[in-house]
Amino acid sequence: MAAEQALVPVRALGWTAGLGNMLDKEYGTWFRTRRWLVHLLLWVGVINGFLLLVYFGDGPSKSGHHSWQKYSELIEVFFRVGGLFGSIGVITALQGAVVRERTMGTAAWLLTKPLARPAFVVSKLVANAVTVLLFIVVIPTVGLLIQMRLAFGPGYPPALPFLAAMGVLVVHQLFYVAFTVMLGTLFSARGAVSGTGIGFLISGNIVPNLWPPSLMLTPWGLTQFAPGMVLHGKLPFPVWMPVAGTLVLTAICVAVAVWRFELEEF
Amino acid sequence: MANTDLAIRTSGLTKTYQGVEAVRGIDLEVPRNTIFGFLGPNGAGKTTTIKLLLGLAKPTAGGAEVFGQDIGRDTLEIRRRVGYLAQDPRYYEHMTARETLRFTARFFYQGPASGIDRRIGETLELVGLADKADRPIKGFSGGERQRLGIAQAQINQPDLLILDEPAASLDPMGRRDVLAVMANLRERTTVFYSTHILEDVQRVSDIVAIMHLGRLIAQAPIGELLAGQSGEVLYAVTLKGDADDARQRLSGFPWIAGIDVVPMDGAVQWQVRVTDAEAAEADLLRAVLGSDRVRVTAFGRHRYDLEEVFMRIVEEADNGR
Repeated sequence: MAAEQALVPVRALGWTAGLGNMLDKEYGTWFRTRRWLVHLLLWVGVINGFLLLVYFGDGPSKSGHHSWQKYSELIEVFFRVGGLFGSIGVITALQGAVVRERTMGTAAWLLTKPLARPAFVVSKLVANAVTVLLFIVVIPTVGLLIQMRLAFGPGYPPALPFLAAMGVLVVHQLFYVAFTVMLGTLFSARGAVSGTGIGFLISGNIVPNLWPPSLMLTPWGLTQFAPGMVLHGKLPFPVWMPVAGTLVLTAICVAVAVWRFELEEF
Repeated sequence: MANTDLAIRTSGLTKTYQGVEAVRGIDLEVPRNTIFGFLGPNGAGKTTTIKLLLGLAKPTAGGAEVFGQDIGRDTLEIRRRVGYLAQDPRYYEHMTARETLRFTARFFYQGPASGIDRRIGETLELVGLADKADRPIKGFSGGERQRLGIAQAQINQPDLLILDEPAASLDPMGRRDVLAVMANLRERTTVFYSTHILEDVQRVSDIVAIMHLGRLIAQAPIGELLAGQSGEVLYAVTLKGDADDARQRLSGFPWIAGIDVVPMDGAVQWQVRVTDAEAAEADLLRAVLGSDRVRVTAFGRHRYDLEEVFMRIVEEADNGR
């Protein structure tokens, strides 16, 4: 019989200690359960299903060709309404990601193992960002592309502007992933997390009316600008400004989440 | 004791929550390869002390070392060498026992997978969960969860096993099994466990510390603690007849600290506190029997049980507060 192989200790120390194991566990909560299927059906159903309703809402075209008005309506609806629903979906799906672990006691258990606190937070951010962006942005967007090309023919919408707009939507939802995880480190109740997250999202319809520059610095403007990228190819201002502003806010959320979780006592 | 001989050393370890001192400047020394019973009533500060050692909370003042490493600076390195069972352990309910142990093991070992699986199998056998290894935890009873807790705590074969009330939720059979596991681990690890079940402590512990209201009020080898307090040893002498002469004779010995008289059915028991056990062994019975008007029906060194000692120490601490 072959000699028994010795177990090889994990060497990572510092902030990455335990990160790989946590990422595997986090992905497991999505893909080793039926959660992924529920979200896949939910978001394709909600976003792409809603677009089908819009598409067939006023009956089939008599000429067999759809108007530019219908085309732009679908693009507008996808990025604005899909973006709004998607953000609510992100907040709802992740409202308990950190809070549940803190209140249930599993976070305290994990932190008695060689797991660095930043690794705990980063695993929540990375695994959930990848997963929700896949189900809430990438798959519905690809679904929309297929729907549009079947309805309006090849080249509609053009690939590059459409992908750029999808990138903007990714940045938008990425912010809400980081924001929700950060709120999870600050609050002890899921209601407080989702309430604050959705409150911030909705205030995007109010604050810019009072202070228009906020559209250029926050994620609030992104879902408004994205349709224009697809439909007109250019914008009246550089789109990098709200993208950069949102990425900065996302980084701040990550930093606050890590800082706050470092201070957490169990 | 040299630092290298210690698994845990705390110095002035203090933790305050919103003005309330949960742990008040405790100085604890836990030698390696001992079973160390950490006793105290509910709210004494036992769990808080454990959380401080594990980095789950930060000390307000003072500090501690585990295997010579600082609990603040070296917490990851400490946790690599420690196994911990919480008082109310929580795991991911959707995972099975085997998945939980695999997840736990992967914090410590990167592979090989076959070796990790073998370790998991051995651990499941040890705690008697092999036949339930692939069931989701959400269906586990309290005792099964506790067994799983012990399994995950020692999956890394830790140098220090910290158990917070390991037997509290178990039936007598479960308690016996847990104590047996702890006794088996004595050779290769240090077991530091908190409890309020004094009978268990007396059965397996080498050293005992008693916490009360956040203070460490006693710390000694269990034998020493059971033998008596403050260097005193207690002898019980049951006698009949007129014992006045005998009592007078005893009061002449310098090693007699005091005599408490307890009336019994047709007899009387003297509880003689002595400061020199050897002298008492040599002369106490002889001195009592020096009178022909007294008959001794029983004589022996009194063995305290831990409950008695515990209650007395806690009461003394309360009175001295």
